[in-house]
Amino acid sequence: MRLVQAILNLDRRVIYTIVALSVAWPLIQPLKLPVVPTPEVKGIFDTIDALPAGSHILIGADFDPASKPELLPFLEAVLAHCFVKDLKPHLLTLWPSGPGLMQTAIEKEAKKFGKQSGVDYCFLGFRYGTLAVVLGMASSIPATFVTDFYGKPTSSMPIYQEVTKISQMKYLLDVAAGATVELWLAYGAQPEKVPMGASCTAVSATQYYPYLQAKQLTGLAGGMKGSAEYEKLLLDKYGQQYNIPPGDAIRGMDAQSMVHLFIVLSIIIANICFFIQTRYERKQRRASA
Amino acid sequence: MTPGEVIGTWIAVGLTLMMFSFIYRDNALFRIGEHLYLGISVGYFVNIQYWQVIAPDVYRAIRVDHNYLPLIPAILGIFILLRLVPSLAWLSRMSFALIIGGAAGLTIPNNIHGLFLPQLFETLRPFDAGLAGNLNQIIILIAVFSVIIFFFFSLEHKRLVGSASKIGLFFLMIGFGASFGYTVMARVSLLIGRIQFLYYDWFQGIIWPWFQVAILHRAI
Repeated sequence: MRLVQAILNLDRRVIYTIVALSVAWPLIQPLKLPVVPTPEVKGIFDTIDALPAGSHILIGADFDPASKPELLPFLEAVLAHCFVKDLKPHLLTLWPSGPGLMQTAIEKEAKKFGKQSGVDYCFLGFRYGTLAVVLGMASSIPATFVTDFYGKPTSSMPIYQEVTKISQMKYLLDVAAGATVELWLAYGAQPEKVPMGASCTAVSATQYYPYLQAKQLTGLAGGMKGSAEYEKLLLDKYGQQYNIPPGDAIRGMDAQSMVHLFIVLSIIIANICFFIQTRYERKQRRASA
Repeated sequence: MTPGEVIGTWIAVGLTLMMFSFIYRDNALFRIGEHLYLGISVGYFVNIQYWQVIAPDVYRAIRVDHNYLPLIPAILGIFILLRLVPSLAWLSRMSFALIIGGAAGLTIPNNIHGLFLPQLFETLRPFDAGLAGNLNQIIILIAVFSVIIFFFFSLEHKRLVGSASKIGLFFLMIGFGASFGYTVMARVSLLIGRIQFLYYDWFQGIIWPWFQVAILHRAI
């Protein structure tokens, strides 16, 4: 009974320490647990993979450093996928604290694959107005983003001699930490009839499953797991050919699995202990009566 | 790593540890980190607002392009700030009326066409998707109607309505369970991100090379 009470009264700091060790250990000593791609993530990968070279993709990267571990690996993998397939991504963010992350991601991937800004891709940066920005882009991207992130006029860029509005995009993708998936869907993808996919933080994943079920989204990648699955699909198909290393999401999934295992075991053990204690207390009460 | 990156990493490590110190107990270091975060965020947003909106769309438009139309939204924006002056607070109603009216006009038709109707069609889809698809469709129908009944309070939840609302509650619990599971994954991901930063960027990127250089220096 002492053990049961000790477990039930365990100091929360002991639990924190075990969680910290469960995260740190697989990073130092990778377990290489398998990452199995789900149909939801394959839906995005296969749609992008089937696009002909030279197609334009609009990517809304609407997140900030708080969601970096979940969403940045997905964004990097999608950009790498676009460049491998010679697709032309147009990257922008509706979040004011996002451009720094996006700049690092797109410059890293563009350098790796030898792509040129304004010709093979465009980083539009941030523009204030969320709804107004999406509606503006539906009629004209160069008019909404007069300059790109680096201050160069968009209207004179070769990439905007090929496309000028959302309806000319072959795919729309929102990498979102908030509710922008619905915004892009209602004001961008649906009215302009452009297929759309979404990657979101795990917290909001369940919110978007109805759109996947209704085929309004071709695919959905939820949280770090979704990012790891996309990295795995990219790695399996193009990893050797283009020397793509495993990304942060795949490396983080070992730690994710370890912590989940600990949480599940903790819930089971705590429940068993709770029932043992309840039964013991009932017996004690009966004995004293 | 450039010297700037090294300094930046050290600052980020310090702030990360300051925030983590709350796990042990509330303390002054955590408070400093918290206030720094708040202050920097507000400063950053004010800066972004100025350089992304005020400077190009108002100042530049008026001074350089001699386009005086942006004066209208600028004045309406100032009206909102006048809520701080009780005698002039009524002026803000004009701005709010425009914002609410404009937003409602834009969002209602688009949300109905883009989100609500496609979801409604999918919920009431004909049974023509094979055995598994039809079974899925039946589950969706039962879930949607029972959850609607659960939130229908004009009838007492007894007999048939009570049973249906209990089924609705069951589906709600499944939904909450899935959301909670995903939330746990999200929070763990944040911790993984920080530990990855501490291990890869700080330990492997700065500490370990310094340590190796120090050993080499001593050996020579």
